[in-house]
Amino acid sequence: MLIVTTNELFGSEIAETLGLVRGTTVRSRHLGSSLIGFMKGLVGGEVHEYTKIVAEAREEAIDRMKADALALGADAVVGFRFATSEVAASAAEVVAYGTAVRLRSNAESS
Amino acid sequence: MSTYIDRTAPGAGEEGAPPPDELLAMAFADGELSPEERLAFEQRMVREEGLARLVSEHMALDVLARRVAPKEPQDHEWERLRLNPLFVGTRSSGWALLALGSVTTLALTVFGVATNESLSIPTRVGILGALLGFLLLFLTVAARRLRTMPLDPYRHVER
Repeated sequence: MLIVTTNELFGSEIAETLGLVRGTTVRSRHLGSSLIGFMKGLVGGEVHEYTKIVAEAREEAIDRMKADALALGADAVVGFRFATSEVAASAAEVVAYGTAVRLRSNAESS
Repeated sequence: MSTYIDRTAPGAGEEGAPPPDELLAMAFADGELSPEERLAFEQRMVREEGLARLVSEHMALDVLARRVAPKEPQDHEWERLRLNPLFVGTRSSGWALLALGSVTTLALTVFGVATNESLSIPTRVGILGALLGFLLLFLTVAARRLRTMPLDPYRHVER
């Protein structure tokens, strides 16, 4: 499935707009990682433990949004965006959202 | 990873070809099943633990395939440090001391509360009950996490 941040798909034609699709997750690291992350925060530099938690959350949110789009019979998601907020300490909340669309097939175009 | 799978093709499930359930798991992970097939597969996943594991493995491959983090210079240094005997020793000792100290402190706290005669018996029962309840809830959550961790395809994502 094609996911783009633009509102149009260059090279393809949108046949039908199916509506909003989104995927949400909140992930946290275990106590050990949080402890090491806290200590890395004291000395500076990249806190890999927190980078990892955000990356995990991002991938999971994308997959949930894709599942939402597939359930609608979409071929692509346009206008894709991420949103984040803080719901708990040492946890990452990510919302992935966009507009599900169905593309015009070759048969429909001709 | 969205490869078309012909589940009716001759040879599917025969020697050399993936078993039919694995093909179904791949199609499910790639969103290639029809709504009816998807529903039937989801119902089978509830009953058959092995199917859920298969789907999870294919999803993990999919996630890793689209997000392969290239190595950075500091990754190599972290790897060297991780194998350094001094680092291994201090890290292991640190965790062991922290775990031992935490368990000892908890045990001493429980013993201190249980034998503290300045506290009334209902107070002692209340404090120990709350501690035990917290411990049981924590163990329940930890056990669930350990059980479902192999089915979490996102835990290998690095950045």
